Amino acid sequence: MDTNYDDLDDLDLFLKETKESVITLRTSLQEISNNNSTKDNYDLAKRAAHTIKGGARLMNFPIVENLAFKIELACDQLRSGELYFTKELIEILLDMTDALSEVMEHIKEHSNEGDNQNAHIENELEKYLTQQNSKPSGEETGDHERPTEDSSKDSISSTKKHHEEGVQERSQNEEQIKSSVKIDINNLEMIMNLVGEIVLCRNQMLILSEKEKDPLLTNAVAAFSSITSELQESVMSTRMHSLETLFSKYNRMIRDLSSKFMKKINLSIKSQEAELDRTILEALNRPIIRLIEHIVEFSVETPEIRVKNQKDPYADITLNSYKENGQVVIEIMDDGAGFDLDDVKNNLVESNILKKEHLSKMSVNEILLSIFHPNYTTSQGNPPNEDRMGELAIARKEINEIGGQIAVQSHSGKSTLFKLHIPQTLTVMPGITVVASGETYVVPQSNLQELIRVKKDMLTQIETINGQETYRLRGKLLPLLNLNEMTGSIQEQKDGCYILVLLCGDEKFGLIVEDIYDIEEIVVKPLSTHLEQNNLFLGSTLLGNGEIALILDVMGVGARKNIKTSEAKMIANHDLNRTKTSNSTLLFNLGCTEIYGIQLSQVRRLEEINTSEIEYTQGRQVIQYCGGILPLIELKEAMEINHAPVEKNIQSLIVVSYRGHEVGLKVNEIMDSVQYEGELDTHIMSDPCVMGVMMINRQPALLIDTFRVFDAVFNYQLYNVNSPSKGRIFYIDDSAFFLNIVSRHLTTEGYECVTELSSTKGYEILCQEHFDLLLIDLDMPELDGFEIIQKSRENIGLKNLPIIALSSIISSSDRQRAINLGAEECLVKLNRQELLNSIDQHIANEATLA
Amino acid sequence: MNQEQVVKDTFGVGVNESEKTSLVATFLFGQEIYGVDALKVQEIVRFQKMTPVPQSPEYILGLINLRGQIVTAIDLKYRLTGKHIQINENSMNLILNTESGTCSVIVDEVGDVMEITESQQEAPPETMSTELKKYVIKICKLENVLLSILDSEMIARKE
Repeated sequence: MDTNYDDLDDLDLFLKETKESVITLRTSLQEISNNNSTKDNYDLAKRAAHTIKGGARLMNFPIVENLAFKIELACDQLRSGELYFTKELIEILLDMTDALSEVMEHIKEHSNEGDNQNAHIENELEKYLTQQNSKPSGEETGDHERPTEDSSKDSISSTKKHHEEGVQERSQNEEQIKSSVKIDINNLEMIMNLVGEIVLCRNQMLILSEKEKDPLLTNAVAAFSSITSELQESVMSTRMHSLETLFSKYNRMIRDLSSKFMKKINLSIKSQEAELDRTILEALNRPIIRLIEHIVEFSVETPEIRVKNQKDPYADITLNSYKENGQVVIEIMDDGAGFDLDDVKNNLVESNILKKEHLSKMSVNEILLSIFHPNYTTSQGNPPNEDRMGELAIARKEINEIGGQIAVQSHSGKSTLFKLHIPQTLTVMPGITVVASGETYVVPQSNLQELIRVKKDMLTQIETINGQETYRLRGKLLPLLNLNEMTGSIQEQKDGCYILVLLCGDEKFGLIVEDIYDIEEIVVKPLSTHLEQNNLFLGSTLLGNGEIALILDVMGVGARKNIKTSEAKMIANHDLNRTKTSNSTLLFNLGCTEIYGIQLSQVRRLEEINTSEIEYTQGRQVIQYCGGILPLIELKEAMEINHAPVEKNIQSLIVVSYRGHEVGLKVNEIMDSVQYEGELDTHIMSDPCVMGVMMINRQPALLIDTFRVFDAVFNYQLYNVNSPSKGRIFYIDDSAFFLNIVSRHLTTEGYECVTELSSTKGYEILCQEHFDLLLIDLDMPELDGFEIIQKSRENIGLKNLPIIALSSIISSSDRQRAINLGAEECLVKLNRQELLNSIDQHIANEATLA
Repeated sequence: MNQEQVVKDTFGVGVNESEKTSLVATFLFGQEIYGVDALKVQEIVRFQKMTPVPQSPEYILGLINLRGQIVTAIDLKYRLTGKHIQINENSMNLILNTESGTCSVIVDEVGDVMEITESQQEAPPETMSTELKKYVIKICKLENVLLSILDSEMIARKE
């Protein structure tokens, strides 16, 4: 029915009021449905329906009026006991409320009611009532008639009476409805901004008043400060809405989904009081809908299966929310099938997300978290649905985008719980101020897990593994990013630094900063459109001292540096976690049964390339790699070896450092890395490229000397054995393994190297023969390295002998001790290049001094 | 007629009463004079400490604190000519307030606010580079120099 409204304000008012009433009505009916059928609830429902009816009558919307009237009547009868409470009846009433809501939507968009597409709802009610009336109770029949009489009476009344009645009802309703006013959004935003400014001024005044130390001033500022905090809270609460606005929508959705998937579901809402900022609420809607859809489709079993498993045919989905630590936690729980751990593991392996070996090292929680991986699919028992792939991943992405996190717990066969942690607001957040490159930045506290202070002498704890700076945090490796690097200037951290352990989705990483100031509440000011694409920062703020500080976007920072656990890193991680010494060897094969190994310390990276990427230049295979060219070598070019000619599309490579460059070693399969503690048999193999034979799990593995291999392949001139050696070096170490390797390195470079296992005997030899340099291992059982250094220095004949100490684990105190005792340097085992450089240098020094 | 004479004496130019005039705030990049609609200029402030934004576009110089409001500082000279502006203590901030947002243009020197008539304005020449044409609405012939009038919306808008 088309009607002209001269005064659209009335329509707006009607829409708003009715919307509120519908929510009240729905909630009360919900409560009643959950067996909470107190008189109060009936009253609330009845009054809400009554209000809707009155407004609709005034605005001339007969369909709405009619629906509301019927609902009101039913509630009245329920309250007085004339109608008995049944779940079915409440369902019908809820359906009618939904229908009413739909008509309201139509009115909102078209300013008219449209056709009544929901007439069947009213028939449902009729049907139900007639069914009820067929029960023995003559009075009920009478009651059934009364309502109809009332409505006909109304339609006879004059319009004027309508109007008066309507107005009267409305004024009554106005008292009952919570008083609220309409306010222009722009005004509200302006007020919020101004309050934000006041907060900043307040911060400044706090700093200044502290300096002044005037008691009167301090008191006044303190009072001002607490008033400001209250003002801020009040204004913030205008933007905050309770989760009710979200949760109330899901009822209808779940009913639709249940019929679509033919499952029976009860939705209960435990608590929806927690409040969130309006924008966050809007952004939460989509991901929660995705989660619920996933639950209904996959978690909840069909009623038949549930009954078979001795469960109630009606599944329970519970929504709960509460505040915790300044965040809002939303729980979505269902008592469905849960996630079966083995199923999940199989899916992960089949979808190529993780390998079986890695799964065994992961905790249950970690494995469950993997269901949010974009490629995760549920194949078991459910029809493969292409669209559903990654729904969970998208939900998690949307949640992360508003600064929230999601986790999942599950009991196979019993229940699943999705837990969402959402920050309450994005406009004001606690953050920690840090310094890098002389500028101040803010890191949001919600991402911050830990703070680590790295003192000056502990800087060595920051290691470089595979080109990535890392820190060993309680046994696990933490990849590090340097804020200085990202913001432009690269400064040496001479005086130590701080590491912020940040959580970015599931990934943890550390951020190195120069200094840390304080944790404070900051007002987030968005960046201008020019800087929108910048994903390092999510906004800026004014600090108490007037300085501008940029706020770090932790997700953006992590993504930019691409902190992902690649396979190489996982192997290195896995390995380094177990390593005490550097006897780590990487095992590989060439397509046949023989196993080969190279020292992990030489390995830069593990790569997989497409055979199509291989190019040929000057008769050699190369690939374009990291902006340069990487030559590819096969072991058979230097050795007598069986290479099975395996034609695959993917070629595995071990990238090895060689004389300051990188070379790619083509292998068939990278097997594992082991920490080899056993003997290295150097006598069996006569091939110079083989350092020795290791016994690994009763199988022999050949330890390859890659330098010899590459030297041979590239025709590098080895030093002529007959030419005078560059120097005579004495190396004492209790590990035959290292004695062997280091002496090989040294002889390749042209030095003469004498080795000795026993330290006591070694010292004797040292006194008797002449050497140009002493290499000594610090961690030996008998005469330990420190003692030898000390003794050598006390010995007049050895006073000037350059001594380089080697050790697997270096602490700064050890290093200092060795140097204090007289060593020139203390190096970690085993960096070939570093060692050679050092030896060159010290022998040269001695030569000039002599 | 008397009025006309007065106006002519004051302004030194012949002003037709019915002719529309616009107020243009002028500034200098080196020796070149540019101008923007004076109504869009919120204020002019001295050079202030700027906070650089790492990984930002080349024409963004940083952020400044304008009485509690954080404003983005733009190197307009770079956008017009491809050369970066040399900042010293004489540089000034021209704060523009437009539909596309508030921004600060760093300039070498601030000139007078001039009243320009329609007749003094001409369309920019065809020979002007397309880059410049994006920003220049009109060219104005003053006594000795050419004044390029710029579109403040385009300045404040993201590239």
